[in-house]
Amino acid sequence: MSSQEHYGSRLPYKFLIGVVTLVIFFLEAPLIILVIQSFTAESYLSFPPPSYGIRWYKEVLTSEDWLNSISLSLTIAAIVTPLSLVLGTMAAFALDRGPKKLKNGLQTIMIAPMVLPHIVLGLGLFKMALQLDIDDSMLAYIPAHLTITIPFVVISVGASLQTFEQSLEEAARSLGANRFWAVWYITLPIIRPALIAGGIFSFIISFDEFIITFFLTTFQRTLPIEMFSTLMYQVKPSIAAVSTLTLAVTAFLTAMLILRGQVTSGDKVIK
Amino acid sequence: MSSVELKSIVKKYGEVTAVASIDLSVESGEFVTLLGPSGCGKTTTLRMVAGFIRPTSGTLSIGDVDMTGVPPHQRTVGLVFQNYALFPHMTVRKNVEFGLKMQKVLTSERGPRVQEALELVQLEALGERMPAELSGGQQQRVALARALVIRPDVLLLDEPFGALDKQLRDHMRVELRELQQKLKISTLFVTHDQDEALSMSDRIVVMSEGKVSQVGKPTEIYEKPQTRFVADFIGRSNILVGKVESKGKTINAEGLILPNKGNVVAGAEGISVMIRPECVEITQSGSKATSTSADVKGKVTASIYLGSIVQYSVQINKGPNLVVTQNNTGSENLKNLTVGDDVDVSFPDSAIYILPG
Repeated sequence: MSSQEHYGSRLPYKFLIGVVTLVIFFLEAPLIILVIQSFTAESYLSFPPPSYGIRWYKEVLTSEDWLNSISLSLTIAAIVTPLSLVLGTMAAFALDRGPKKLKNGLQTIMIAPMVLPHIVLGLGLFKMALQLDIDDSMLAYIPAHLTITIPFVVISVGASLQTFEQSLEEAARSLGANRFWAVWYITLPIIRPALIAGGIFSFIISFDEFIITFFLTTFQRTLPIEMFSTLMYQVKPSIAAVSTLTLAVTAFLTAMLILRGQVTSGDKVIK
Repeated sequence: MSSVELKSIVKKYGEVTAVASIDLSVESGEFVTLLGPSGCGKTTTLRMVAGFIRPTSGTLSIGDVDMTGVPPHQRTVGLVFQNYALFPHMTVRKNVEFGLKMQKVLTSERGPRVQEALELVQLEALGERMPAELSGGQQQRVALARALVIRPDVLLLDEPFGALDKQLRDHMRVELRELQQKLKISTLFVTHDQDEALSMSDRIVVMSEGKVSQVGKPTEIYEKPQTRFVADFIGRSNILVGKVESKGKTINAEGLILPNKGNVVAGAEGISVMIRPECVEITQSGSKATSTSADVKGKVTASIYLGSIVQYSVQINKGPNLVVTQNNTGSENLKNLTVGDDVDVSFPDSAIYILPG
């Protein structure tokens, strides 16, 4: 007996496949068109392009403006990611191990920046940055990005800690490890998949962040801001090339995340 | 020298008293069991010895050193958990080595000591396995090796056989006791299983509602329970309320007339008399040529077949209902006893035990 028969006749099953294919196509079509357009050899965007080449990639990777903005975005994301992981993990531990009465309230506060309209958050951070005279600098970008990346770490690590068997830490402590080393040698390696997920989320969100950063910059431009301001006065295929590059980075990291998920969920070692 | 000594240990959680003033000692090389129903405070007591719970008052010493406020990692106790708590991301060898690493034992010394510990629990061949690849019994042994490798002052076992099936549990019981005697390691064992307690311990501490009910050797606990709780909790028992009659010669226990061998003062009332079910013998009425001295007759009101034994309820004529167990020796007589049968009931005088107090 085949699995299809199990769910009923073949016709609805085929229909389901068709619907799913259509949905996927509509979701991904804009991206596919963008990627194809980025390989145009012409000086304008068109679909399908009359001829193909890597002309616009060359242009992007030799343009000082693009390289500066890519470098700024990567630098911010590279600083934000470890900070976000450390602070988010510490917060997740505090929520998991701290007084139960405070847990719900504190967790809501921690996660609020994730659901707040970013434009409101951006406005607030903008006023603050002006007051402290740190706008248009790392001192403003990094805390601003952290407010929206930390919740992702708190959620992924927090969920992992909920299923973590605390007697493992107690076993380590009875064997001579203090609280810190028990967490370091036992807890952290076991919740590693959650740490990796939180780290990748932090990186992607920071790298991709536009609205809040837009409030905080004056002369400096992160990659999303550079893309936006380029689009303001011209639509050149270089935008498609940059978008494809960004897409590639994000897709690579997401793929890593998904692959890790598969590896760990199939791993009998991790409970 | 006592390995562990608790003096007037109290643990309160707000208004709730988990442990109410416990005095307890484990002598060097002794196997002591904390036995009691769930919620009696036995696990709380063990966790105080391990250092995870700080007593509200009282003092706790390990190896004659005051450890009351010392954190767990500065005590040398070997702890085995009910769920074993093996580190899932480390091999068996790494699990066992962990304690040595934390205690900063030189790398060159660690190898032989890990090997020694694994040999002790006959797992030397499985050092490179991950815990998830082991059976329950093997995991149990790894947990034991991991606890023993640090040469603890005391071994603490928290219901270590709870997750094993019955046959394996009985096997591990023997193995653990042999190992403990071989190493002469002081051991504090927590269980709610009286069979485990009776078969393994040098001394049993029976706990109830945060207090110690009785401390004694397994035979003392079973044969001479000091409180009604202990008599009820350990094994099956008939506990009858009686009063002394006939100028102190007999005890009338709910209509069952017994000789006053315990020499309870004449006129005493409300005394508790215990008769273990296995000490009572029942035979089909009139089947024995020579009738027993005690002229007690009854009727079988229920019978439960338990394999090696058969448990009967016997309603004594003008007396109490007694639980009686008979060994299943395959005798026809036993098999023929059914509900409604009239039986002769007999038990030796030594089976009559008067609970103190």
